[in-house]
Amino acid sequence: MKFFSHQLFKTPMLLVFVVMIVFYGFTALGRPAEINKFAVVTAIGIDKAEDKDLAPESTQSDNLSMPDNVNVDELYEVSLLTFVPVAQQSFTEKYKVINGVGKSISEAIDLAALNIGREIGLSHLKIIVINHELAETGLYKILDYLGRNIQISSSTKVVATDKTAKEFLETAQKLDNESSIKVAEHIMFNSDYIYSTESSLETFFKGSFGPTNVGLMACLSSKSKEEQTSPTAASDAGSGGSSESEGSTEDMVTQCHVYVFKKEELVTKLGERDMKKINFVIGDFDNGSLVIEHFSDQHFDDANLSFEIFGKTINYKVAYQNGIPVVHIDIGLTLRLSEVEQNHDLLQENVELFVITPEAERAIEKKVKNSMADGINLMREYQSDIGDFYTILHNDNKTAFHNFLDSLEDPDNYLSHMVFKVSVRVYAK
Amino acid sequence: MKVFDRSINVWQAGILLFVLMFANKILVLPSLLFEGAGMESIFILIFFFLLELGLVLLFLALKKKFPTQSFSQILISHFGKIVNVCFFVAFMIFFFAKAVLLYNVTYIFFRNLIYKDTSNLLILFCFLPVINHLAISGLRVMGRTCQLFFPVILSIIVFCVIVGVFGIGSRAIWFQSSWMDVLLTAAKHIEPFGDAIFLFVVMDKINIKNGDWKVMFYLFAISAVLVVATALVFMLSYTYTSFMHPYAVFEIVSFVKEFGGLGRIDIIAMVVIIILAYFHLAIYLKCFMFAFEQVFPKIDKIYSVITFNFLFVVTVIFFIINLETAVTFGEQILPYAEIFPFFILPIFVLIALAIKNKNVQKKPENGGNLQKILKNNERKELNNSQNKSILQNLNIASHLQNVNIPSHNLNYQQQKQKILKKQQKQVKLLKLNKKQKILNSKNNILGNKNNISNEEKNNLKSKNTQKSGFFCNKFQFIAEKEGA
Repeated sequence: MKFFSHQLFKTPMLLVFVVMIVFYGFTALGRPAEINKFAVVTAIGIDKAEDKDLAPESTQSDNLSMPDNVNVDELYEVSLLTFVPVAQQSFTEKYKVINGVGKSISEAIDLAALNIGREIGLSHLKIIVINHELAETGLYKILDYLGRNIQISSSTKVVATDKTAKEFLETAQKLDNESSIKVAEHIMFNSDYIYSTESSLETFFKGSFGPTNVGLMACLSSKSKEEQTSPTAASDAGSGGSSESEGSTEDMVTQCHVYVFKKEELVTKLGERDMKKINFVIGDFDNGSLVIEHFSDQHFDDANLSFEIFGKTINYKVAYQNGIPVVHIDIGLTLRLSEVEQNHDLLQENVELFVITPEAERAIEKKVKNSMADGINLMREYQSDIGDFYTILHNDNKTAFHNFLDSLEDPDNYLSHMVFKVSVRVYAK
Repeated sequence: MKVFDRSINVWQAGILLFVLMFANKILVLPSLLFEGAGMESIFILIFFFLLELGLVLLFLALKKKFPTQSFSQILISHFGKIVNVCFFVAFMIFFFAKAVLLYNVTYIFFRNLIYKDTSNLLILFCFLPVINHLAISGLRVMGRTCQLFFPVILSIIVFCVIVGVFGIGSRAIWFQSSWMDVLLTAAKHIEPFGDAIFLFVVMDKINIKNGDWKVMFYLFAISAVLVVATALVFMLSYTYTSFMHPYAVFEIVSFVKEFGGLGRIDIIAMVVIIILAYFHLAIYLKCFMFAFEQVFPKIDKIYSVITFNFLFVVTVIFFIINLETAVTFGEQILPYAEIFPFFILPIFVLIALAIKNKNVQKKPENGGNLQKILKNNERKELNNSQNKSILQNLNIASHLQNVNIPSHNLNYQQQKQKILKKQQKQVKLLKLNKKQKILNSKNNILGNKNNISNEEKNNLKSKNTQKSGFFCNKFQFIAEKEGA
């Protein structure tokens, strides 16, 4: 012991180590484990609580939770898809939707925490669902809280919904329980398709804080099978247009629109087909399909050919003619013939060895060019530079571009005064 | 408690410089720079690194002119004691302020990203003992520890940059900020730079051999490139939202993790931030200690550590308690401190370099070999006629250690080295003579005269003086010419 104490004082770092062990050991004993402290939230739904009827019973009865002097028009209802981690041998997460109503998002979350008796942990948050009415009017107020919260990852998906966010989360909970379909994954993989867009906090903020001030947000809808009155555009759009839940469940989540915001205001809602046209211009896709209707050549007679897109390359070149920017979009598509629909029922050509003929190439080119022209017109119509051509032109020739902008009466509408030229290259896979 | 300060070689000094170049630059700085100057903030980084390079060049020039003198000795001999004290007070404040800023940013990083309930005291308790130990153990221990961690730091940062490149996807807008924005941002965020002045503080502890200075430049260049690359990758990954992400090196790895298929590789970035934070704080403390020693020469060195710890804990706990305060401190107070490394210090160094024939030998060097060997009592003994010629040669040779010989004159350099080698032989001879003298006196007492040993002694003396005679005369001439 004497030797040990002698060595301890002789070696100061050993002493420090011993003190640290003792200090941290006791500190750890005095604190509860984090697993017992937090309720893990994987999804947040935010609704506008217009009157007290929307507030949960527990909140209504609790005067402390909702003061009477609060203007009910400004209330937010926050629904949290939560599970409480319990140390078990099996890996199961039992989810529950809990609610809180408050004057601000942070207050509503705090009040929701009162209902569960735990601290709200947002580190594992995967998706934020915002009611469409709120998204159309006060989206940026909500995003301010979400952007500032250091726990929330920038890759968290953010979507609008055409119903209440609370209903959406309940549907999402059922889907997860019954078929393991996770809504966050749903939106993550949809963004690869040509019919949709990436809809995360990061991409939304990037667009909103960029020079064009245009942010995109996907809108999802929760539906039961009976509610689906008309077939969606899935027949044309293919697999990416909507995702149907499999199994016996009655609920499903579908993509309904893509919201386009400009300068903190909702400009338009784009459908899947419109989004496809715009995505051809901006090149924000990896998968998708392309249908050529009434195609005839030596192999096909009035056939509808469906091509699967396997990859794309897109380049922009800028030139100025009389001070007007001319953007040359060069797109290369790698396609594979995936389906042939024609009067002859039998498959006449071996699709594995299908080579794109000059006629087919011209037809595809025409189709893509038309789509791109429509996409550019959409952007022009809503004066929303979704493709961020502003940056392309600025980086190419700052002086010439700003001279061009100065020459315009309405500089915001610069897309309408620009010239676009498109060339399409097609490769067979 | 004793403080051990032994000299370090140029590799260790270079690695310390390499490590210090990351201080306060790879976490919060890129985000703040982007907020002020957009993508053009990259040029701010490059510009400041060029200024930093200027400091390294000044240091090398000074080291070349005064190879064995400390910065304090140079200041005293050229500008007087008051300037010296003022300078080292400035050093103390500078390094202390830097340490406070660095600690706060690191603490807030850990609190936000690892454990939000952690208290400042708890983290202080992790940092202070280790950095105190490193600083007390001495510069050489610190240098060697840094050498050990150098490959780890280098490989992790390179890894982070390479992984971060995969996250670059969006289009960044260039040249949107005005020159005024860039200048204002540069002035506001100059505080992480100027760390290269630590070289001046430890000047006399660095041994630089001929040609070794290149190592320092290579290491400096690598760290500068890595800092710029980290900032560039970060800005290209996050573009317009860069200002929302305050921890650059962590965020670039995190971005790929979030959007790619990789797991939690952001932990790797955390590891390097921890290692760097320890070394940065230890180097700052060491520099504070050196400066404290110059300001209060009569106080024991250990009090410098105690002072630093006391001030550090008080400042950290009571004054700078969150990221906002830390950033305000960094943006509004510390930029004024940068006048010292980038303006005042270079002017004084340039004056010291410009002044010729200053009596650099006035203060004997603590590292001079001859002064250590030739003690005063030995000199008294050697004042007999037999050893006078040897002593004369030795005096000339000892003077040569401090005589400034132009680097381009290789003949002189070679000759100087030869003479210095010979002087070592002569020292041995002198010792031999001394022993012989004692032996002779003993023999005289005993009545046995030993003529053989005297002959040997004379032979050796004549042999050495003949060999070195030509060079000694030549250098004697130079020394006389320089007024020594």
